[in-house]
Amino acid sequence: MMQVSKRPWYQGAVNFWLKDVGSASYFIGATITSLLCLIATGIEELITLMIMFSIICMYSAIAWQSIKMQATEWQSLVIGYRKHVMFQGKVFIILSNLVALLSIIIAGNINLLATLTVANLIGIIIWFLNRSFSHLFTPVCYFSFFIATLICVLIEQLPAWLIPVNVIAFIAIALLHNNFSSAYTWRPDALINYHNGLQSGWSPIPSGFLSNYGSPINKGLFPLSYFVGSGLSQYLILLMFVCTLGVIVNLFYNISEHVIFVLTLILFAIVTLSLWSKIQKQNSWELLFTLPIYNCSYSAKVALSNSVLKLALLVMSLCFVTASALSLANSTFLIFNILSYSLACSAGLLLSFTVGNVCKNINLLSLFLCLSFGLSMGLAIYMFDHGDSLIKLGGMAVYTLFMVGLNRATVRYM
Amino acid sequence: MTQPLLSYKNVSKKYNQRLVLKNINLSVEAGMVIGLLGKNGAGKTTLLRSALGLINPDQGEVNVLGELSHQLSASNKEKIGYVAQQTFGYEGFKIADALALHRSFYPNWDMQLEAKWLARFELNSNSAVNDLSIGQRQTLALIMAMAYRPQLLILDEPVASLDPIARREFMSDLFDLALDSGSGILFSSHITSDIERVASHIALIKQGELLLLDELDVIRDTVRKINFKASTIDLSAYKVLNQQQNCAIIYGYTGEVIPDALAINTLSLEQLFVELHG
Repeated sequence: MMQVSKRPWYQGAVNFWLKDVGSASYFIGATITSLLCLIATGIEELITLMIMFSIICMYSAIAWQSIKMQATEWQSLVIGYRKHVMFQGKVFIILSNLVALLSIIIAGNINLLATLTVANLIGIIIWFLNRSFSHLFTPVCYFSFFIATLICVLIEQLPAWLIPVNVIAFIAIALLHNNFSSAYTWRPDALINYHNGLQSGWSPIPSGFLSNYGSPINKGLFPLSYFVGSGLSQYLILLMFVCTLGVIVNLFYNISEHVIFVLTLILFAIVTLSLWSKIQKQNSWELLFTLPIYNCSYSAKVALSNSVLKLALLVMSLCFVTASALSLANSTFLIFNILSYSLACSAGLLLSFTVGNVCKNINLLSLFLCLSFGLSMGLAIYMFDHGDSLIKLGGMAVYTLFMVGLNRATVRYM
Repeated sequence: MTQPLLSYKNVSKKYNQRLVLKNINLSVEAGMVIGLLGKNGAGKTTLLRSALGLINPDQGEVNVLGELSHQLSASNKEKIGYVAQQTFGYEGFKIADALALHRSFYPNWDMQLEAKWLARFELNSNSAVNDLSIGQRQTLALIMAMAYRPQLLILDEPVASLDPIARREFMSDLFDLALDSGSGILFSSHITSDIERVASHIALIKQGELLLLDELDVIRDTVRKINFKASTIDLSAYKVLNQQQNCAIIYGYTGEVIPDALAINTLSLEQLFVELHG
């Protein structure tokens, strides 16, 4: 027999937060954006977004652990287990807040403190809702991230009076939470929600949404749609809807830069989600290989690469049409900007799928997906703003062709 | 009389207007190994979960180690071991890391037992939990639930995914553990041979109702299948578990002659299970 070991608070932290795929995808995102907070202290627009995302991502990671807790039948019997995991989560939240505070001090802008308090308020709502209602994770996260993005994009600086309001609201929620519901108790649907969350890539769209309209798109993009599921066409229809809405609003108010930013952000979020769903269903390859349309596994892989290329062409067309429609209302952008931007978007998509082809380790994949997300997003926005020369357009075209080749060349590693 | 480790008193539970547990009365005492036998959806898992306070009964009460199951104290929780039907909880861990963390929560963890079972079931400490087969995960969950020698062990289909050799070894260990530690064990299974091998008592559950609860030997000795021609046969001296036009399963038979009976046959546990659900 042995006596109880004095358990360090960090025991199992790497496994809980970095090796559990669901938690890792938010935790890694939170860590990267936290570090970017420090780097981006001179760029006001970026630091606002980074503070918001780092804090909300960290709360989402702890919310994910809350769902896992509800799915684990034995956890209520193991005294101290829940406290141990949640303590780690609280430490990480405090650390990410400290990093954000440090970046605010370096930036010397008190209004950023309002952003930080808003992020904490949104975050604690995500966490506390998911401690009892695991099925709400996806809609709550999407709603929260959407609101956070809108706040960052549409409001230049949050007013300082929001700081005490947010702090009071945060404290009220933290103090009153025990009266709301029984947190972390086992629930029969939590395990299903956990697995669904992992496999669907946290798609916010209901499974049957627009399924009739999407089937031709899914057929055209087979076998990619086989891995991503009906969500692929739903994402594209949703994207078209957002683009149309943006173009219509732009007729009345000049918001073309905001529309481009939101469109690009949603586009790369969708690419990441699709890729995630595809990777989660990698074990379905065997069924695909057995279809009589493919001679061997390599021909199935090539077909998959071709369907990714088709998706890239679709995305390029959509971005081109949207950006052109926006520039018709406010003729401030040249055709070079629009073409370069469209090429950058499709190249970004191909880059993400190339990363998915090569990367086997799920943690490394999460890391590289975050990096390719940031790189592609930055490049696309830069091209829209500054890609006004033939040289840059030529450079973008070469880069896109290189990505097409790279995507095709790396299918063999899948 | 000693206090039972676990007792169900008139427990009923409804889900969506369907009664899944009907007035269950059952006690587990130290040294007892109760095999809970029933079809899928009979209410076995609900019964076991209600012992842990995961499910609150609509009627009746469940007492565990002298406390209501949904108000268990920390000291009593440490005396209960549980293995769920679906093992889950240490995704992202290696076996060694998972065991290290899990054992840190228990003051009486038996390292020798852990090492013995890791070796016996050929689990590599460096393997990732995510890469384990269902059977290996179940074995790990069993080690985690039993290495601190709990007084009460509740196992939901504990060996369903193990191969026959591992199942036999595990069942043998289970019985030894109950004898050595004076533990009480309640486990559910479909596999009648496993139950017959280790259980001291059998609880047979059908559509939420506890049809039969007794020692295995008593069940073997007193359950009979009676064939008859006349429907006027008098079986009022026995508990009739199932009656059809020309036959019945009775409980409480002690060797006497039954008028109008054409044949009186013994039943194995598997035959009894099939006859009751036929």
